[in-house]
Amino acid sequence: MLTYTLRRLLYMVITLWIIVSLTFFLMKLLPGDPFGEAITKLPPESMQILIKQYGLDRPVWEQYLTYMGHVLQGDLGVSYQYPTRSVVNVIQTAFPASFELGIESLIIALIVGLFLGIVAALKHNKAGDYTASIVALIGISIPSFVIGPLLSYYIGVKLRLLPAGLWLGPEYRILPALALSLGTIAILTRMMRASMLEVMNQDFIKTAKSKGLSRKTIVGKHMIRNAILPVVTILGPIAVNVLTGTLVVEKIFSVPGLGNQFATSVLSNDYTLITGLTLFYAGVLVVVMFLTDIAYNLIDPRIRLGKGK
Amino acid sequence: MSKPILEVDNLQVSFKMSAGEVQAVRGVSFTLNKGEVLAIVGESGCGKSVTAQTIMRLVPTPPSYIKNGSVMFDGKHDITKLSESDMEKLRGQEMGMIFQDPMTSLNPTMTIGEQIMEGVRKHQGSSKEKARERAIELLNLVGMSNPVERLSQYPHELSGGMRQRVMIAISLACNPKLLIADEPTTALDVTIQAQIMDLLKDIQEKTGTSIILITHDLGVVAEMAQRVIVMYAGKVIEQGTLNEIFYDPRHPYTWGLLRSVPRLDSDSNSDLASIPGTPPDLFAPPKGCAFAARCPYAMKVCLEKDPEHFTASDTHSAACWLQHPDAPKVERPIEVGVRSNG
Repeated sequence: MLTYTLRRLLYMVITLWIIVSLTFFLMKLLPGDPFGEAITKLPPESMQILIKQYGLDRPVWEQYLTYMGHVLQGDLGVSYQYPTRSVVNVIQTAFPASFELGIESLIIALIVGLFLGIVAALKHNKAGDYTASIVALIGISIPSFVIGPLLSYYIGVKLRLLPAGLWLGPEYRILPALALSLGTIAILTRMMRASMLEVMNQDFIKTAKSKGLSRKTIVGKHMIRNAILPVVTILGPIAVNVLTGTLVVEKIFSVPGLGNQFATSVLSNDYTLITGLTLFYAGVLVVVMFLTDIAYNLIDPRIRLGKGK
Repeated sequence: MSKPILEVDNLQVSFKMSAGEVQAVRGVSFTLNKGEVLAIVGESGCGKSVTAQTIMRLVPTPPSYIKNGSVMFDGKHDITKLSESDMEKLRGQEMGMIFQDPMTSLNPTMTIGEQIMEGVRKHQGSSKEKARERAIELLNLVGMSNPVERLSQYPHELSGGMRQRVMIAISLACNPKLLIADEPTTALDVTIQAQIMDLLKDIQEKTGTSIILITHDLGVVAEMAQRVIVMYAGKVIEQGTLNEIFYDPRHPYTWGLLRSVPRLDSDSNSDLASIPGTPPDLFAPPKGCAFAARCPYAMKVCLEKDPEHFTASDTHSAACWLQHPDAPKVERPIEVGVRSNG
């Protein structure tokens, strides 16, 4: 297990290094520069000073080496947009909101999605199945930029049940989390349903029944645990998606999250912020994937690693 | 003989499909006495597995349903009429089942121990420690080495034969009165088959449980069974004691089955006999004898009227018009019914 973890860690570092390097060089190919329109109004001397300050006058490979050197020390540079803030600082202020929103919507999606999937499978071809399938269909076909404003307008503005936007108290979390979770609910419902249906027809379910176990025990102990395996595999990418903030939902509900930052950083050629955020995203992704693998290991003894390794 | 453990009377099981009704079991009757080993033989799709699984009500309903008939268990429970919760009390406790494919019959995410202990705990309400003791005892009984270690192993860590031993241990967990073995050796390789059959025989002798052995392997039948039922297209076409079926078979289908078994004393150059044709479509079973279309001895009456059971002895009967007193006498194929001289 230890050698496995160490090997995985090494791969994670290599992956991140490749991603950072790729982003760094690709970004340099983008047209324009971080100083945008405003620069033309600056006197050329001031511009020279600016460019020198950020090291943009030096060859690209030298910039790369300097940047990598800083990254290794945990310094992702200073944002071009907000010259007073470091990239690390931007992430530190924006990530908590995205993370919280993501966790909340993930929990909602897991509870509702798995439940619907299980119900749909147990009530195969009956009313319960159709209801769950319709929910899943709606979730997949309605994008968050439609459901978000609808929720915000009807529940927030018309009915005044919940705040329509902003990010203040706990009640402000509900609508954006719902809007963000809908798509995930749909995916999880469909996955869980298909997986349950497959498990239900397995021989070992008949064995369980032949032991005289009750339906409740069979579903709880024998079906769900086996059915959840394929769902766990897709949970990694899904989790990263909702955790790292989504531009649309964050914009609609004015959530001060990372998704927002990413969009503006690209629009304004904020080199350091783009690479910094990409590195951060990638970091979260590889860590979550690693955790998923570990979770998979715990659930499925067949892929559990040899004892004592 | 004491009163039978199982009396199946005119059992009919059908599957409702979108295309119509499949009559998988069409009026099967037999009895099983205490401590007896009864073999049900027949080719794939003849209804033997459905019959066996109906006895434990394991066939999913819908699409299947019991159309008619009764299954009396232990003289007091009619299985066809019991509620699901009453069935739960019988399953595992009074009757156990061994399935065909040990590779898929065990839950891959649970340890062997958990899977054996589950039934014990449910039916006998015993503590974890007691159930554990019982599990170790059972693993010993089915001939597994290091039973204590096995408890914490998962099915994928065991070979097919070992898994089938675990299946047998599970089915025996609560000392059931009836054990149904649904092709217990079909999925195993030949050397392991013999071991598993020896084990079943041994267990039968030790525990005195009644066994229904479902198989299409006549070798397995000869080794274990006292009585044999031959099924074809959802019906019993011949039944009798082991000797009656092997040495005095009456139904042409039984002849065909026996002829298709390779024999040590047969001419090594001759081809193995087979039964031409395929079983009838059970969506629309034929009016007369279901075997008539494949039967070399079929007469006009065979296509018109389903034969009743003609008794050959107290224990032996066959559903074939050839057994009718007025029927022409036909010569049994030479390979059948002759005791080889050594």
